[in-house]
Amino acid sequence: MNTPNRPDDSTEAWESAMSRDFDARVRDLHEAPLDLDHVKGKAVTIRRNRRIAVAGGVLAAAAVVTPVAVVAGNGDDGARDPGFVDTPTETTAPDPARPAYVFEDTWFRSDGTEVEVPDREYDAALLWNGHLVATRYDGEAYFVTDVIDADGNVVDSFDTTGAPAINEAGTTIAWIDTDGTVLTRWADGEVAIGEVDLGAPGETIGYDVAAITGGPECDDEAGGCTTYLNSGLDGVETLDSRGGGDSPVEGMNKVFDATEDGTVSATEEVTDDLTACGGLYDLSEGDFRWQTCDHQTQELSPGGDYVVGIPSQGDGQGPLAISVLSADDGAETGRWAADGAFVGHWAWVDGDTLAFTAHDGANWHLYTMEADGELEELMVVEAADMDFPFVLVER
Amino acid sequence: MSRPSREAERDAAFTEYLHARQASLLRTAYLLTGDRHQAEDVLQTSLAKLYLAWDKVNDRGAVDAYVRRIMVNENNSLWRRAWKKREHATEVVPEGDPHHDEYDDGTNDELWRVVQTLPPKARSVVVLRYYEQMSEAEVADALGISVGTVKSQCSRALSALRERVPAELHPRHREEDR
Repeated sequence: MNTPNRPDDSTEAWESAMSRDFDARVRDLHEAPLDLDHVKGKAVTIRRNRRIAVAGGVLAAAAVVTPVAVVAGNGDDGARDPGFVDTPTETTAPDPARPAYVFEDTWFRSDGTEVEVPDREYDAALLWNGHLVATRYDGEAYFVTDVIDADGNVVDSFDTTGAPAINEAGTTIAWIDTDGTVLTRWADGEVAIGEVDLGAPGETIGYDVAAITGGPECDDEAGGCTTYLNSGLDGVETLDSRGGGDSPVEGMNKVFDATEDGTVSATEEVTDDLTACGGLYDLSEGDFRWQTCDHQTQELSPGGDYVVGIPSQGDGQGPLAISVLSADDGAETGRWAADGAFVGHWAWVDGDTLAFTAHDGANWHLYTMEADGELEELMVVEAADMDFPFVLVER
Repeated sequence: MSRPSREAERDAAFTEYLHARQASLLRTAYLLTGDRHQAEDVLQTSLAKLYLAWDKVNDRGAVDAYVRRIMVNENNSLWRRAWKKREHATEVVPEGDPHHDEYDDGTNDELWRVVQTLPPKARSVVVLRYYEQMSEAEVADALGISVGTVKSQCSRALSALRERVPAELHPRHREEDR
């Protein structure tokens, strides 16, 4: 301990009085009201809320990962392969329609190959120029993103307010560092295109990048890039390579995705009963192509034919259903829901195949769903009480 | 070591820390917030964040400092969120019943009222400086601010005390009376 400096008697007396009074104010406070369950319960909530930011609206429950079984991929819950294996590799045979994901210390790539990566309990991941860009909670307020090469080596790490976003071509990522600088990076360049006010250090209110369009280079003022930024206080801003500008989605509540053809998946408003209403907004028309309060639209499929829909009212551990919606008119073409189960995480595998994870109260399941609703179950993992085990890799 | 085993080990170590340090941390949280319920909320959130970061806080001797920093940030954040929600129309910290009113040499209540009117960051400075007895450099490091800011915040707090506490209750005056 150190003794405060005392430049003069008067100051010394006041400092002593303050120390004495602080001590007296709390000297009889000896209680310890919290136990480990209180702390862990809060930790789960914090982690889940952070994942809302990092995974674009996903509410996920947690699971301690113990891989115990592999499931025959026919979508029939009663047709599981009785043969348990140590890792899930056997059922993730090379297949272009297979999802890429990170499971503990292994990056299972869509081509069937595996790469050992650090076991850092990543919350989100995407594929960028052959690198895995994986983001994990830093334990306090923000996140750390690791850039991992094809050999599993972490070649770069940076602090960020949320998971980076990637453009449609997969060439350029964007994120906000913890000083509020909006950064973009492509294969051989990086540029800051603006700043946002994150408030005080450690704030849980801030911004994250929901989407980026343009590129690959973002330092080209003639073309460049546009980033869509969600504010933690609700509201959307955009920043482009010219340093800002009028937001084409002003008045939106939250953006989830944006494509090169000018389609933006967005929530326009959240009603008093916490129903999210929105849809696909067409920038060229300056209006919604279609709107709905039945689903909250999420990420568009590669090619833009479909968009993920989750229930417009969210509560509890995570969405109770997940749908594939036509990007043309919002019609539901595929849907998954199960009694007592919720969805954890999702990512498009290709233009008409969606991968998602779901928890049934005892196990985590990894599924793919075609646009027409055809379901395939790829894996089951016994769940405990924290963290979804599969982190799907956006492509 | 498997992940469940690591978790069990983490839980055991964390529980030990919880038993040893919780009461002390609650006292600091109370001084930061001025409200018992908010203090518990801040402490719970801070301990939860510590739990999530437990494996990377390698220097066990630095855990208290780590938690204190989270508590300060969390309290600032709560205050700012409340302000943004217009739950408090002016820059007045949330009022709450003091935990302990039995001690009062005359200056205490007035001093406590003055401390409660300080903005949260200034209040964090004086709590760390005069309750935790941290040096100016340690406070600066803990809060991510400059030593100059620590000095100026302390100076302003003391000036506020001089102005608002009645002269007959000034500590030097009282010492001369004894």
